[in-house]
Amino acid sequence: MTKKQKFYLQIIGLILILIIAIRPLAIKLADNLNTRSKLTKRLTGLEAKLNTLKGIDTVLIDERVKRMEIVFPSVKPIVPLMASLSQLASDYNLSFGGISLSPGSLSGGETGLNDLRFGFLVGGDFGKISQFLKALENTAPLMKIEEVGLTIKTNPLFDRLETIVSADIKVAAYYQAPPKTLGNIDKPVKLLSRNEEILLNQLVSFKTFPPVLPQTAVGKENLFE
Amino acid sequence: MDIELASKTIGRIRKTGRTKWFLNKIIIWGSFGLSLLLIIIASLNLWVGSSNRILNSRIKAREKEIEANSKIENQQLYLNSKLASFGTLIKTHELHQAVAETVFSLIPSGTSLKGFEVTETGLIDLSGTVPSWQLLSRLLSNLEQPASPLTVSQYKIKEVNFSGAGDLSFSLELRLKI
Repeated sequence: MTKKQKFYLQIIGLILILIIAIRPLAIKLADNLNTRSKLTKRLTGLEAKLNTLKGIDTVLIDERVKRMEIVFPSVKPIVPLMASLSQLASDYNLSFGGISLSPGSLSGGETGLNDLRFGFLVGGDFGKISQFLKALENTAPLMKIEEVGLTIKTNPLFDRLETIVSADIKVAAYYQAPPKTLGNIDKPVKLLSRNEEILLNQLVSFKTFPPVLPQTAVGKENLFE
Repeated sequence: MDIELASKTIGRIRKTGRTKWFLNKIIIWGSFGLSLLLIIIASLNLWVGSSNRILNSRIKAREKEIEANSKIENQQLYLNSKLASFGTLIKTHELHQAVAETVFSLIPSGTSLKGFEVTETGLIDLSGTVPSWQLLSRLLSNLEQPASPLTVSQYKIKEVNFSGAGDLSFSLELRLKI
């Protein structure tokens, strides 16, 4: 082997070392740096999310969720609806009955908003019924008067002091199921906008009634007493 | 007088020698440089790798903390999802309430209302019965008066019928100023 050939072999050897040893190391370093930048970004996002979560007032959000659940429930509000309507009717000294229920429409889809149609009869003084109707749409759970039919029970020509009427009212109550999953842990927490805060404050204006809990029928505990 | 013998050959040999010396230096320094580069890249790799491991452990710790706060996150998500629909409902609700309140403020006591229906265009079909002409004229005069919270911008008497018992049934079409 001549000296010239030996020299060329050394050069080729160097290039091979460069390709075999340094190149993969350099590629791995680039990968590691790329991972590092991704991890740093993820950590920043998670820290921001954690700070947001820690900044939320737990008592306030608890209260808001409870209030929202009363006004705009997640499940069909049959029992709260009946409890509210009967108690509201009794507040205005009106008779309450003739309840009819229909499944309502499932407008569902993306929003998952559902409604429940509910019919009932209230009877009493016309003025009180008018006040009852005004109060109805400000009572929890959220409902809308769909139809009103009024029938006079007393003749105003003979009984001028008060007009007893019977009102056949059909209302729609709304409910919406909550989201099923939280989603990805990296998903940032969306804080409420100013308008949403105003909306939440409107929840307070809804009149609520205590739920009517069914009393379990208990038989005689001691048969010999 | 200097006599240079084979000066050209000596010059060529010197030049070749210098080139070889120079190339040998390049190879030595090149090898040294490459070794240094290898060490630097390997060290950097180790350092970045360990820093990534630290970052990963910090991420895991943050994830655990976030999971510990999942109740708050759930509640926030719940409010966000509900508020979108609630906002729309409240808007229509307020309008509907105003319409209902206006209609009830217009009806004089003693009127038997069969029902009222609000169409998409804001027209209200109002029908019912009144026991006397006086009540009907009061209802019509109420329509002329400024109502609250919405005002009647236009109304049309569609139908008035007498019944044998002296009652009057009516059908009106109202347009409220929204």
